[in-house]
Amino acid sequence: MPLYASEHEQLRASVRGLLGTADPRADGYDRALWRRLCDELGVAGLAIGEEQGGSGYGPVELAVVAEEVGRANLPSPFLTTTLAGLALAAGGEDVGPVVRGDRLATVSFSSDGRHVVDGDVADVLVLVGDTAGTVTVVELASVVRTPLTTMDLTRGQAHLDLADAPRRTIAADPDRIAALAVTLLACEQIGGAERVLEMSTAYATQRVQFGRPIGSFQAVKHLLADMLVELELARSAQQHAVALAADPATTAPELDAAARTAHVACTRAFVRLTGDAIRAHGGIGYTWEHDAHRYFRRARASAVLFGSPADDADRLAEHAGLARAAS
Amino acid sequence: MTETVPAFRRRAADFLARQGCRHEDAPSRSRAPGDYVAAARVHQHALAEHGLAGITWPAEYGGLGLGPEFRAAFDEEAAGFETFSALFTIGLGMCGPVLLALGTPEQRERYLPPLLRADEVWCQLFSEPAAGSDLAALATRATPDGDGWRVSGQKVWTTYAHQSDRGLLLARTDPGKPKHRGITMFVLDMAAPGVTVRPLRQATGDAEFNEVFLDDVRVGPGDVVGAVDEGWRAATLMLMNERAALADSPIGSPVTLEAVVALARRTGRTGDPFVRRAVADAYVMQQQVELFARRVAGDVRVGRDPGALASIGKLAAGRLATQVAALALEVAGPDAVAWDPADPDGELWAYGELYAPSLSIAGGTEQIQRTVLGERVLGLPREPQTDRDVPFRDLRRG
Repeated sequence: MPLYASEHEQLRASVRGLLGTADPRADGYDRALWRRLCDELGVAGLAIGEEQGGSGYGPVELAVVAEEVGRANLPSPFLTTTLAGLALAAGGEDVGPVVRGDRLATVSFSSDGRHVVDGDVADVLVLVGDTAGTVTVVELASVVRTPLTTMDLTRGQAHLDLADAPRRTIAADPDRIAALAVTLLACEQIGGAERVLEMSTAYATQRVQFGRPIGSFQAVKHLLADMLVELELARSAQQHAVALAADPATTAPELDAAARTAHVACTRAFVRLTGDAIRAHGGIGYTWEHDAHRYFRRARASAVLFGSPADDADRLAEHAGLARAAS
Repeated sequence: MTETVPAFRRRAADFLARQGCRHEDAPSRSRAPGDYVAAARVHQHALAEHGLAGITWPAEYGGLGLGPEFRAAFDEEAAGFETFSALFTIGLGMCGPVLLALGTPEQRERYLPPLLRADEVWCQLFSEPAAGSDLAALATRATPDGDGWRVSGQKVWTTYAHQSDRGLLLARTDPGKPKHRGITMFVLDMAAPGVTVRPLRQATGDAEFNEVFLDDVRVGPGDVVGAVDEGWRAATLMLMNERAALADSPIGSPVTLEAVVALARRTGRTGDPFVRRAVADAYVMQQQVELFARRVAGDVRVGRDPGALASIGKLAAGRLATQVAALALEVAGPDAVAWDPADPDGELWAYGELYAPSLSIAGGTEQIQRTVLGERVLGLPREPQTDRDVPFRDLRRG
């Protein structure tokens, strides 16, 4: 059965419409647009229960929005705020301001405060799975931040000095947040990969050399076909991970295997497709004015956003039947 | 009274429990090809006897006339059992559907029931030494002879020709027309005078392939499938059925990731970081191949031609087989390339490595699949064709 039903496609069209109004070269995220996304579509609280101010939807709806955010390749706090918001809601915190778009929350999977995604703009930080396997919350108002220069022009990072920052522990499941993080990241990656393949296909159809469209040459046609294969294989892994995240009957090991598989597959696909898109466009694809490098930058940075896929290899080998080496 | 899906499922499960052949008990296609084909015939005959053959075929030709949900139920029950798809993909998956679509009532009555019972095994006489990816360049000639034709030429890569009773043959009936327009499809009796089958050994050492030499072989008007000079349409229909059949029950590599994982355990390599990384990579690829097949079966929103999407699955299956076979060689080390002849499984890893390239060629090469994807899914412009409207006899060939 297809993962997305007609109401999901309606949501997709609404999100795409709103994102289409943004300046694609904006520096940093567009606060006015974020407010509209929260006010009109409730994206910040999409999967938060209605009793906590959210819309009460689930991972499938989040996947639709994440795909569109990835496709548009705009600066957006959607991914981090969604993940942190869900953790805060699970921990019984007041998430009203986050849902309304008044406060930005972010999430980090290491407790040292380094390379915190959206750490340059967030108001509150959720630290997931430190050594004790707990989830803690840090208010960032008085924390010293060092915003970083990022390869990715669409997503900021900061080093945060958390040494003296007070932390409070909340009751949220770190494994569930981690699985959802790489699953939604995979959705963004698929959205971006799909878009660069469309751009490359359109360019190969219009651009004429040697008297015919370059897409009629096998060398270019086969490059694009390989991009399609990579995209659709990765999309299968992504959709499976979303479907399992949305199914309450899914066991923790099943979710872990599916999420890590999607993480590895979609990371590779996004990196590969964005690199190939530059090549498919030739010289024009290598210019600052063209969007190709912006997607490529996002792909490279996304590859190490929530842990490198290399970190997944050991667990995936376990899922494939290789028990962990005796230590 | 119509049978429900659950009742049909129970009947299928009963049959398989009593008469099914589990994968591990089936004769090896490679080491005992004769036994494999004999067991396949016995199995298919028994299916027909028990009213389980030709699930979606019309009842008037020996089928059950049921919907695809019955076929899906059978396939689920048959997981773990040998279905002999390597043999039957051609006859039941490709020749049968073409006869159903284009055959005359007489041809369907004569050929389909024995095909379903495996009383007659069929092969596909398409490729030639000078017509591979460019199948429409085939040169086997059918010359008019009274009310019929005399056929001469050579076919190649004819899987199981040496075990077959009949085949669907493409031959050129009008070399004065452009290459796609002068071809006719015939039913060929493999025992007819003038048919010579010569087995061809593959890179693995197996001999499933054949060369088929046709020397003045007589075919009659009743042997034409579809219409004279319209064989390209029939050929296209057959190739579409091939893709669908292969997507349905892929003929995968004998070396599975599970086997490689078991080997790593036996050889104490479970802690080796290289092995763990490579197993994880292969696992991700295997998951994608399986999940893609499932997704395409249920949802074809990604492209314009659902048939063309099978090319993605085929390319991916070839890559997976290559990846897993190479990994097996890494893990097995020197044992993979030299083994004690007394060890019945000693050859497995070398066999898998030699088998893998076939998945990148059979059923359309990787390059042909990429062209299909580029043109039919992405909608890219076609390559200009210089041979399309030229009479066949004026084309450069070789």
